[in-house]
Order: sequence, then C-alpha cells, then structure tokens
Amino acid sequence: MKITLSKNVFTLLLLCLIAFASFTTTSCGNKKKLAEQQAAQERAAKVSQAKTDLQALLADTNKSPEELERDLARIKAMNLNDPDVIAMIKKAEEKISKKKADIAEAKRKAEEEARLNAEKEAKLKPAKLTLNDYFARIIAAPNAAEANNYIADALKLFASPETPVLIAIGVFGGEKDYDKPTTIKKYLEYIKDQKKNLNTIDNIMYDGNGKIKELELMRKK
Amino acid sequence: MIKKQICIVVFCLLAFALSAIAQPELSPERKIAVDSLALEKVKDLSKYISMIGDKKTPFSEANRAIDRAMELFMEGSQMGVSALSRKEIKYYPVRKYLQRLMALNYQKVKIDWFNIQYISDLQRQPDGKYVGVITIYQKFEGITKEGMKYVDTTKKDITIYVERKKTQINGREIGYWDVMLGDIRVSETKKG
Repeated sequence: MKITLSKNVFTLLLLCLIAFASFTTTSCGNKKKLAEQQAAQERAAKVSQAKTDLQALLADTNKSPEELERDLARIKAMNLNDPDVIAMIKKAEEKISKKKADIAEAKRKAEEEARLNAEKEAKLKPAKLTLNDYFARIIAAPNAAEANNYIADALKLFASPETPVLIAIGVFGGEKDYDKPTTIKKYLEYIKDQKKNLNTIDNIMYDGNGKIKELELMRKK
Repeated sequence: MIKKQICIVVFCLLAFALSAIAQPELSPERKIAVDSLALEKVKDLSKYISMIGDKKTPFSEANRAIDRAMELFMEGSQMGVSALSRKEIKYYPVRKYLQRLMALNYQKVKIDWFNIQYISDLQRQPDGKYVGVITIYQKFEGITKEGMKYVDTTKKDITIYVERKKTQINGREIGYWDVMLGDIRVSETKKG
C-alpha cells in the first residue's frame, strides 16, 4: 500500500514537471515572437515616417538647401535599408543639389544685373565734378540759368556761400600779395559774368564735415 | 599858446609824412602785378557795363551786375556821359548812370570798351595810396524800334586808387591790395 502511494505521488510529480516544462517552453517562444513582431512594427513605423518626411521634403518649396540637407541627414542616419526610402533619398539629394545650383545662378544673375544697372546709372548721372570742372562749366554755360544751376551745385562743396576766397596775385620776397578777399558765391558769380577764370586753385582748406572752409587761388602767369 | 599849436601841427605833419615814407617802394615785379590787378578791374567793369546795357540780359542779372559793378567804385564816384547831339558832358553818380544805362530806350544796345591802358602810371601819394589813370575807348551802338542806329565812340579816363590793407581771414592776417575806381571823365566823343 505504501509503495503504491509513493508510485502515485511520483507519477503525479512527473506529470506536473512535464506540464511545467511544456508551459515554460511555450512561453519563451511567444516572447521572442512578440519581440520580433515589435521590432518589425517599429521599423515599419520608421520607414513609414521616413517616407512621409521624404515626401514632405520633396514637395517643400520654402526651405533653404541647408535646411533640407539637415532634414535629409536625419533620415539617412536611421539607416533604413528600404528600397523606396533609398530611392526617395536619391531624389531628395538631386532636388537639393538642383536648388543649390538654381540659387547660385540667381545670385550670379542678380549680381550681373546690379553691375549693369550701376554702369547704366553711372552713364546717365554726370560724373562727380571737381571745383575746376564747375569753374569751367560755369564759364562755358550758354545762359545765366544754366550757369546758376552749376553755381548752386558748386556751392554744395563749401561750408557756406560766404566761404572766403583769397586770390594771390603773386609771391614777392617770400610774401604773398592778394587781391581784395571775396566770398565763394561772389567769385562764382564773377566768373559767370566775366566768362573768364584767371586763377588756378592753390590751396583748399576743409572743415570737419569735409566742406571747403577756405579757398586760395593763384593768378595765372 | 600859438607856439604850442604850431608844434602840434608840425608834429602831425611829420607823423603823416613818416608814415608814408615808412611804406617801402614796390619792387618792379610787384608793381607790375598791382598795375595788372588794377587794369583787370577796369576790364571787369567793361564787362559789367556791357551786360547791363544788353537788352538780352535778364532784369535780375542786370541788377546784380549793377551791384557787382558798384563794388568796384569808391563811394561818391561819378560817371561822365556825352552825346553827339550836345556839347556838354553830364555827370551822374555811378549807380544812377548804370540804372539809366539799363533803361535806355533802344531795342538793342551794344557797348564795347577797347584800348584799355594806363595813361598815368600808378604813383604813390604822400598818404601811401597809389593813384593812376587808365584810359578806355567806349563804342556805343543803340538801335531803336524803328531800326535807327546811333553809334558813338567816347574816350574816357578812369582814376584808379590802390591802397594796401589788412584783414583777418579764419584768424590769419592777410595783406591785400584794395583797388578802387574813382570818377570816369569823358575826354573825347566822336561819331562812329
């Protein structure tokens, strides 16, 4: 009787052991499968997100090539070995390099246009006249109105219309002899009236604003 | 008392004479430059007179030319005016002469000065000033509305005064020659 009981217990224990082993084996396989499934799902999600991002990147018209390159680098860093993604990356790279070329071309065109415009403007605008140019133009002006326009322009070079003008008639024994000092406005009107300029510019003194504060002329010999 | 007054007068005369002597004579080169400066002022006046008389000169420009011309003269200077139709010579203050010239009743006026030269060289006076006389010939042509032409040539003598002066420009003392024109007298008028 004792032996029979022991046998039964043993059998029961064995059955339990078998059942436990069988249960444990089944549970491990399920976990692995689950993990594999999860990984596949994650990759699929990543691929899907990468495709969405790449589509957005290919459709984008606002971002700069540098911004697009940054976005693309982020997608490439995921190393998704998906043929669709790889194809889209190639397209995106082509788009970026085309955009770069377009921008460089637009910049070159803009620079060329600016240069041509500057040349055109320079041709249209009279060159910046020197004081001697103004003297010559005032004298050669065909009428008083034109001469007066040149006088008004020339006066802009001076601190004021009352800027003193000294006219040296010669240097004698190291000392300069002068005509009666006048003002620039009167001198410009004088050359307009007399249609002559008997003097050359000997010295120009400027103030802090770059305007002429004193003009010294020398009688031509 | 009389002795004292005589002494004062003599002292003043001496001081005056000494001040004149104190100014050294001009070197020939310097004299030429001053002569030339004075001659140029007469030429400037010639241009102003031509402008003022010219009917094409705008009114504002002619008035400005009168002001500029007046700056060439000593105060109170007079201008002699002659005409073929009368023997007498009329003298007008310079500004009045210039204003009359501007308003002359001709359709066209042409005035030219020529043969501008010294007839009396600049000579130093006891007061230190230099005085000379420059002669000019003025040819006047006036054409009326009706096309009548009046032409005369007048010889005029202009007294020139030149004085050494000093002024301050931007804090510097500048010595300059002040050339002033005096009376302009008519010495001869002839037709054509």
